[in-house]
Amino acid sequence: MHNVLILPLILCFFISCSSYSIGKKYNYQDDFDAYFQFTFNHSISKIEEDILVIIPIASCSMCVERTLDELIKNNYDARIIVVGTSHEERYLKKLDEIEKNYPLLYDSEAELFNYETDMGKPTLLILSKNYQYITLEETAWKKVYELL
Amino acid sequence: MDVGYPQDTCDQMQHAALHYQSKETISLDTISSFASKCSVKQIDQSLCFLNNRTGGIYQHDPNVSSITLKYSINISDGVPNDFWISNDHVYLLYAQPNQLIRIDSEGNQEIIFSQNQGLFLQTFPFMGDKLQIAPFGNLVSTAFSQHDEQYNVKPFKLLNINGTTEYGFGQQPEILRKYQFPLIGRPSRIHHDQQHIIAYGFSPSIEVYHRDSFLNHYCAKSMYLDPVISGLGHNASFQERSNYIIEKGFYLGIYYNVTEGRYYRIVKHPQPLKSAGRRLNKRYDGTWSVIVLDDSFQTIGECIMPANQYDYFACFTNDQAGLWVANKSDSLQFENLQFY
Repeated sequence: MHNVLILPLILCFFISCSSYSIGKKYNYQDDFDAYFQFTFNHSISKIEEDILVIIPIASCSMCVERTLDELIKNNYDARIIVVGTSHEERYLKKLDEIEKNYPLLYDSEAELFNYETDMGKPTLLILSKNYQYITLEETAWKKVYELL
Repeated sequence: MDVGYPQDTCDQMQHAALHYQSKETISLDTISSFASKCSVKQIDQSLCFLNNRTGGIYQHDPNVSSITLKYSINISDGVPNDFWISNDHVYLLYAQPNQLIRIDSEGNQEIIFSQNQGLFLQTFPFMGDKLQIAPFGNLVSTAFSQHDEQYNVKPFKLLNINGTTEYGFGQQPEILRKYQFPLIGRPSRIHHDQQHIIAYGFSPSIEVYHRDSFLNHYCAKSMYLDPVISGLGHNASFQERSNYIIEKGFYLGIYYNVTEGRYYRIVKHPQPLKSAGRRLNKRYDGTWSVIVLDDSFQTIGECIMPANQYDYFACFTNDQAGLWVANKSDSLQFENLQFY
């Protein structure tokens, strides 16, 4: 009887631990908050979504392309921040598509790079879990599927 | 730290403090009024601009103040990192995919170099850095392998206009195997009179080659930089690389003025990472200087330049004395600076 009660507790413990270990701890939380407040004139603590996907549009094109495709294919409960501008047709079409399904913010002046945020590539940031993050490189999407 | 160069010749070097005077300004308002971002090239005494928004390549002739559209390129699948115009072709260098494309006057495109040929080009898009095509006589490209996947350093390779290797020269410094130098891992180069002059951003020395034979090292050290400029490990994060560029002092472009027989070497000075609050200082906002060398690579002196007034990445020389440098005004203007 005792074992029957303890087993679910142990399972819960492992599940919660494993989901916390999926992302890495983000070391620039205060800087990111300051960036968000300055750029969008809005406190990050007041946004509804728990997940932010930050896309520096001029960064690694394979990572950007894959991130845009994944956002179109899936429908995550996330807010998207596009950093910088692009005149490339293939990106613009995909961003139009994404804007239909996600709340989207444009940081067209690339203010992100005026703060220490360590986001040189598309990044997924989970606010509620002490700002865990995943850099959205090609190989990272398996982790994202597990997480979301 | 081993930096692959004889440091003793460059230690404790003192030289004269120079002054500068702005002698002339050329303005290119008609270009800048619609150009969100321009790449600038000096070709045959005139300037050419690639408008990254429209794909137009324009030529400006300062003698008659005319601007003509030379080529119009398709940018729907990406903007080239660099370009070069010869008499009958335009060459476009792309980072992703790594390729050099030649377009003839009929608009026919031909890939004359691609990563499949074993060379690897790197770029740092977040820094606005460019791969560069330099007109080295009949050699068009500075395409070379900085290192392979195991960080084994490779010699430079110059390509001829058919995209085949003309010759290799100058083993790259061994230090590139151990460390990375964001922005300055590739050297600035000049080619004239069969000589290649190579200046790395992390070294006070400059190397001179005659075709593929090494001739000598010369010291061209700034009074405002340490003799040794350290690098970062190859696993440094994006933020570490970015901070390096803000904080570090290092050497940038080297230019040669044939009329005067003078070399000009640009020096970015160190600056604090942040001035107030959490905002980072701009990468290139601090003070900088110009080292002036004579035809024999002897330092004439160094001139400290004001912060935030000039864009020291956009420089060129022509048949006038001095160095042309873009200023940071809203319109695209170049000033002819002379040093004394």
